[in-house]
Amino acid sequence: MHKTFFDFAPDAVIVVEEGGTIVDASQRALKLFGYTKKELKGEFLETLMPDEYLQAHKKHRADFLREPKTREMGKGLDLVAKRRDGSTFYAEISLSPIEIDGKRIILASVRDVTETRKLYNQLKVSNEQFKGAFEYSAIGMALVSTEGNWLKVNKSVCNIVGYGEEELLRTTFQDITHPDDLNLDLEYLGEMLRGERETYQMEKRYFHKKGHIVWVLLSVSMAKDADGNPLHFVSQIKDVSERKEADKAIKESEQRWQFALEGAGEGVWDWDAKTNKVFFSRQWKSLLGYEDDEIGDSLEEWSKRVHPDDIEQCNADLGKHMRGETPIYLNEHRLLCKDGKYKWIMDRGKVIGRDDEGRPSRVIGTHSDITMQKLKEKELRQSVETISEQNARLMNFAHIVSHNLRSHTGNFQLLVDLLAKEDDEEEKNQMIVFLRENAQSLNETIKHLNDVVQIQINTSILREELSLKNYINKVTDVLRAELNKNNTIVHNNVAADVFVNYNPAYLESILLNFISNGMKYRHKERSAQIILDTKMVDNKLVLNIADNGIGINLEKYKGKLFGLYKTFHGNSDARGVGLFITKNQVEAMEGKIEVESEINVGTTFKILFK
Amino acid sequence: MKKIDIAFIVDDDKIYVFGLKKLLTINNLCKNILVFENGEKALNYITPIILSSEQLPDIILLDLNMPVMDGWEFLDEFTKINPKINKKIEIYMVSSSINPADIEKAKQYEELTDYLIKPISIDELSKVFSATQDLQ
Repeated sequence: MHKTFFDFAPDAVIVVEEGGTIVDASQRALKLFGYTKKELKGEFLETLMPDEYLQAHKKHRADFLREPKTREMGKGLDLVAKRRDGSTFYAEISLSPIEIDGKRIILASVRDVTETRKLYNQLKVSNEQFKGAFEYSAIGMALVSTEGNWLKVNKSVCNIVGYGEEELLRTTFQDITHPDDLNLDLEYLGEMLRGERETYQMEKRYFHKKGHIVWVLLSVSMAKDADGNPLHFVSQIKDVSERKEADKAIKESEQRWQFALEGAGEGVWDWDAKTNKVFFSRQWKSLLGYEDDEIGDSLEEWSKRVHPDDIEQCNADLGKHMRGETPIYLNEHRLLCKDGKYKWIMDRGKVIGRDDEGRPSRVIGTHSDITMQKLKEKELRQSVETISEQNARLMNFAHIVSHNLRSHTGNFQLLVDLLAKEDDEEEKNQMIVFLRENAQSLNETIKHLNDVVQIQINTSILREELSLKNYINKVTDVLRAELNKNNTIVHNNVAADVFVNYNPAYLESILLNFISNGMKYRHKERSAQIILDTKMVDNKLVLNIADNGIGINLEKYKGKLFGLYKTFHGNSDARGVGLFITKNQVEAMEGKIEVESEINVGTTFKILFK
Repeated sequence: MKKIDIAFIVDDDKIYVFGLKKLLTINNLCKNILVFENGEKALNYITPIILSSEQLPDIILLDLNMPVMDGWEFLDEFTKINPKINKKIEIYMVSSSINPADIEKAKQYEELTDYLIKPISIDELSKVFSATQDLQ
């Protein structure tokens, strides 16, 4: 074994003479192929090739020798070589024809490229795979320059925005981004370029080539060079228009019903159990007199405003519905408004979502203002009461009419019968006196009854703003002579600014009646004092007329005090008409009369104004 | 026919009282007639003589509507003293009221013999007085 010069060459070298027989081989070559030099010398070069290449190679060799030229490694043919043990490997072979002593020989450098080939093939496959993945991905993928130019886009990007690849590459992403989304996008990119952020994700809008908006979910990362400098952005773009449309449709439909409800004057609430937050609509807040920004989103905003008398029933009703015992939640309660007053609210709600354990997760409902209804209900109830009272009064009145008219007609009948049978002139004259009296009395009765009827049937009576003080003075003046004669002093303590909306004739008649009653039923042992003053009780004006007279036994007479033709004191001038008429007049003005009295101390009548 | 000894008329209507007295006298139905213008006055008369049966009336013609003490109140008071009275006193409510409530109420009083509606005819009056007489 001696080393030849080519033993120093980096590749395996085989020396072949023109006829194709091997004359020498370097140590590397021997090692590569697994032969000894002795074994190889004199063999045809084809010995080192798999059988299937033999014919082809003979032809190659012939062609090469016909026009020999140096072929460099790398540009050499990729061939397959065969070792002594029959195994094969990919070989790169370069041929150098040289002449030594006028004899042409060929130096063949052989390099085992199996590993390289394998790597290359792998790379080729993965490159193809990547290309396919990029190109055919259902998600839009793009490489974008740091300036925003589209460098490479796949089909999906093109489909999403409606541009052809060529067209799109001529634009920047800025060109097709919705102006409202551009700033945020650029901000993120800036942060990435400055190294403050690795990736970002945002929902944004592109303009489709046809002009409409497409919503996408954009995820961006950045490719850097070996030194960490930005190369380009890698964007993934997912079309979320459909979901956005669905979201929008849901939002719109929610807005629609809210709008519809709010349009109908109803406040909307929407309670989320997970967060325990409540959405209160603008109308809900304005129902209570608040601006939109004056009320937050806690449940307390509602519960703290519920009238203390109503909260228990409220919670009971709500609980029943939440447990599924009632199909809807329904409750009427009072809510405190900004102005400090309560409003009656009709609260209607429904559980529209439950969690896995069946607990309500979302409850929505409406509040409507039923204050007016409640007020009307109350008025209605009151007017039913009033009508019932009136009815009772009319019934009573009918009996009174029949009683009084009957007693007079009875007397006429009696007197006329007696008169026919009477012979005594004196007796006859007496009877005629009685007949005249009876006629007069009947006349008076009819007049009284007529007065009462007038009050009862007058439903639309004239009303004016009247100074109570002035009217008391006026009545006192009318009664002046009588008051003086009866040693009665009237104290008008009513303030000058007290006005009542009243019928003038009624007010005069009522005051006249009470003041003259005070005078009539004065206590004989002292000078009569009648004191008139007002006060406010439950926001209503009350006129007190207090005397220091003989008083009334209310225990005995309370039920009859204001009855027609009821008299109590045995006074010969008592008719039992005054208080009856007075009461009717006060009631016609939607007021009330109350009385307090103590025998021998005095009586106080209270007129409650509407 | 034995005449009723004492009759009370309790009524504030003086024309009616005049007529009634006249009728009783003309028809000779009663020896003595006493008139009271309200229940209280009648009661005040009865109370002191409660034990002297001969002075008490055989019959009372009681009006309903009167000042101070009306017919009902008189009956309420009379009911209280009635157990002490050793004489059957026939009480007739005599009123112009045809109010069913009054007629119904009258039935609640055991002390009331009947409810008569004004004006009373002479036939009715005779019947009442002879009935009272028969009882004695």
